[in-house]
Amino acid sequence: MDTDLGLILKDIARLRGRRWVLSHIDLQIPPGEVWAIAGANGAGKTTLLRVIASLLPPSRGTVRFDDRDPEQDLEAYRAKIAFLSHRMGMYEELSALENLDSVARLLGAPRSEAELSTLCEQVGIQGAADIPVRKYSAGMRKRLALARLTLQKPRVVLLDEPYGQLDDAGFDLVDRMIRQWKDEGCAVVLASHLLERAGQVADRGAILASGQIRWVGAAADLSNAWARLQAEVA
Amino acid sequence: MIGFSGQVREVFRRELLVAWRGKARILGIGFFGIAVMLLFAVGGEAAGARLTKSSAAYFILAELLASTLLFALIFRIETEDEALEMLMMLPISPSALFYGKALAATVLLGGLACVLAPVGVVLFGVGLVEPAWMLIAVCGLIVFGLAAPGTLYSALTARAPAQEIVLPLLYFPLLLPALLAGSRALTLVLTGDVMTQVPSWCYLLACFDILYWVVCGLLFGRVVEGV
Repeated sequence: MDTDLGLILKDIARLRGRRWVLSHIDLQIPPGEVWAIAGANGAGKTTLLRVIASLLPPSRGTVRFDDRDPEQDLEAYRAKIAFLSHRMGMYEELSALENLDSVARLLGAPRSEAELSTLCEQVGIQGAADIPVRKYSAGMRKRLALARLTLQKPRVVLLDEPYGQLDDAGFDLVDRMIRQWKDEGCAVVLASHLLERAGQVADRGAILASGQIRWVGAAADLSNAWARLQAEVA
Repeated sequence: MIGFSGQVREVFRRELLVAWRGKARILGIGFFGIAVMLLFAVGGEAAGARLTKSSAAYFILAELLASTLLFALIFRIETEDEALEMLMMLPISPSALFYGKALAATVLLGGLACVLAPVGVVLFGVGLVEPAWMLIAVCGLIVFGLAAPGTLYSALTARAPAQEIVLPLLYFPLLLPALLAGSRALTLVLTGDVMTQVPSWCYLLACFDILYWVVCGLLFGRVVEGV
């Protein structure tokens, strides 16, 4: 198996009802590269991330990571993917420590309570680590979800609006985590409306409109490209 | 990555922990079961039915009705914050998820049966004619029979707009053969098994249980990937 190919999307399309919500998506994201995906609401960013995560099958085209095919071996493919969704995926009645403990056990790498407490401290929820998640604010949930991602040893990290609900310290936390994943050789894809912020942390950028990629380039140019496209539409 | 049995064990442990943390809801289901038994007792008495003879059927129906609330609950916790989606992103087998959840449901339904049985003794004035182990074996088989289809249909209807209606509509018809066998076996245990028919009914019930657990385990992956 070739382990340096990274994430490869070939002619991805996704049909919802009679409408193509994604079409002709071709991307290759090498390991250690961070991509920022921008687009208006309904442009297809979340659908694209869910297709890459294998939570939605593409209606056409293929997704591969290092030659791993989700259609052939879903478990092996998902073992290398970490996905931060709009919803945090926590058990409301359990505490942060219990949620993290359950994930760590399912990953086959149980952690001690001290290790999990340290993890909670790193994401800034140490004061609430042992209260039920249902009492958490949206920002605390997001921080807990970020802590959960660090339990995995992913090769691809998918972040859907990672800055949403977070304060300035949370923004910095996300940036730090993205840089750490990049240093570890992960391919990172983030969908965000905060183009300046995403442009600073990402290497490459792409703009989606009506389910199609309209622009691909250096992430530093993302804001300008977005402004140009908006002006063309107007 | 952990093996299949480790995955089942972890899902089972987590399910029981979630149930324990949300024990108010579980207690509510127990009280609902007791209320159903009480209604059967009052209604049966008023209609002049022989409560002792019908007690097994009333017990099973109370367990069944309360189980629909439990099954509506066990996948609601998976969908209220998309926990299931995140779980599916971990490298675990859908079958392990099914067997972990179904085993936890079996334990909870077993607990419910332990609550309802003494209530039935008081309300219906029944006593054990056959040995206690036969009662435990029959109740165990009934609970196993409810757990697997309930877990499957709970997953299938988790996002249905009217889950509380759709779940029983799918769940009840599938259980008819097991309910029939369970009801007959339990009636014989409570009223006396002069013809030694209990083992035959238990055998039939066990066959349905095995069928449910195997088929539901195989179908579960397709169901949750579509949830």
